[in-house]
Amino acid sequence: MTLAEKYAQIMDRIELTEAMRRRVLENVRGAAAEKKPIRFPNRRHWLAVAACLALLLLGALTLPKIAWGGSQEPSAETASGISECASAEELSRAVGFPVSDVTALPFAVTQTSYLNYWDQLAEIQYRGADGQSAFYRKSAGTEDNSGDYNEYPSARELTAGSVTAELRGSGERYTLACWTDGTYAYSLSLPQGADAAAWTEILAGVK
Amino acid sequence: MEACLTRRRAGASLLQALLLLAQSLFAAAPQKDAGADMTAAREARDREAEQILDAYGNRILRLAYSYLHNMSDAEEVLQDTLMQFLKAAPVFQTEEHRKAWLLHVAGNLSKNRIDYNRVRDADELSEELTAENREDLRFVWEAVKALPVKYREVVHLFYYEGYSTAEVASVLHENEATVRSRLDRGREKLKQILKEAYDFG
Repeated sequence: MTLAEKYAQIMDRIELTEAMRRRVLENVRGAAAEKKPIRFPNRRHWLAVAACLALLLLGALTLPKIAWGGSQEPSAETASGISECASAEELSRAVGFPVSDVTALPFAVTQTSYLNYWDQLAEIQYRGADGQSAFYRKSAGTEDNSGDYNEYPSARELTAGSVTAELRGSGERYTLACWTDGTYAYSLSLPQGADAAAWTEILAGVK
Repeated sequence: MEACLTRRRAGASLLQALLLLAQSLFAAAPQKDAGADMTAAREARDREAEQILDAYGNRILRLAYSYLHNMSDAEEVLQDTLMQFLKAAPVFQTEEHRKAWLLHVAGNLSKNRIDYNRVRDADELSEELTAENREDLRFVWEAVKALPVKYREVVHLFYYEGYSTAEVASVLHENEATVRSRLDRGREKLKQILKEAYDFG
């Protein structure tokens, strides 16, 4: 028996037991449940109570004048530690730094989601009608915040406007751009890919 | 009479309007949707955690143990790796990339523990091998344990995980030449420790 086989025999003795598995999962769930940065569960309820009382007091003459602004819709917490905001402005307030929409995407955006991860990372998700999507992230610091750990055969630097980004992809099509301005880290992922010319336009439109 | 009917109609419509408004406000449909979203997201996250534990739990635990030589520390590294994964929500093209990411994170978390001297003393594996009189295996284990961390991690990934030197380099975010050199030095050191028993084929 070779040493490699003996070492494998030794290592195979270390096993994730059912008790250990249960413990790990419970702790992971518990830790996730503790990290709920933004809570809005009762805001709507109290808004409703206050509104009805006000209505009763104001009476019939004032009733038609009362308007309920859609912009007051509270943010929805989509997962523990992650909350969804209504706009880039609300997302900026939640994470504590300015976040702006990407304006020059290579597809018509039909749906936009603003996500606050742990009050540390802002992500804007854009989706188009034909399955196109884009994910824009911004966080404090200069470390790569893309969450994309794939290895790409192609990489190049590209300067567009005030942004100098590293593009990663395959061949002439790049699916990820990462850059920093020294204070914040940015990344933009385009799963469908785009060539350097298209990226130049996209990045020039990033504030 | 007409004025009275108008007043009654106005009163009824006001009451109706108030009831409708109160109903719509208390219906809390969006809250239910948000609640359903949260539950669905939580369930998805739990499923993903379970899936990772089933697919890679043993591998992560073993890698962590190879660094820390202690089951409690290895378990905590496994747990922290899982938390990091759920927090980072990384995107991968292949399952191999996912595995490499998990091993990379587990390795870093393990090394952090060594750096901060937070490692416990008990080595259950060594105790188990001694209790079972498996001196041959304990000899090998003690020899690998004696290697510096930078050689030990390469030996583990190369020989146990079956990674090529290029893949080990990718997992550790190191240069492949560095990995090859460390593997050679690790083998040399094992030769010195194990002498004639050395046969890391």
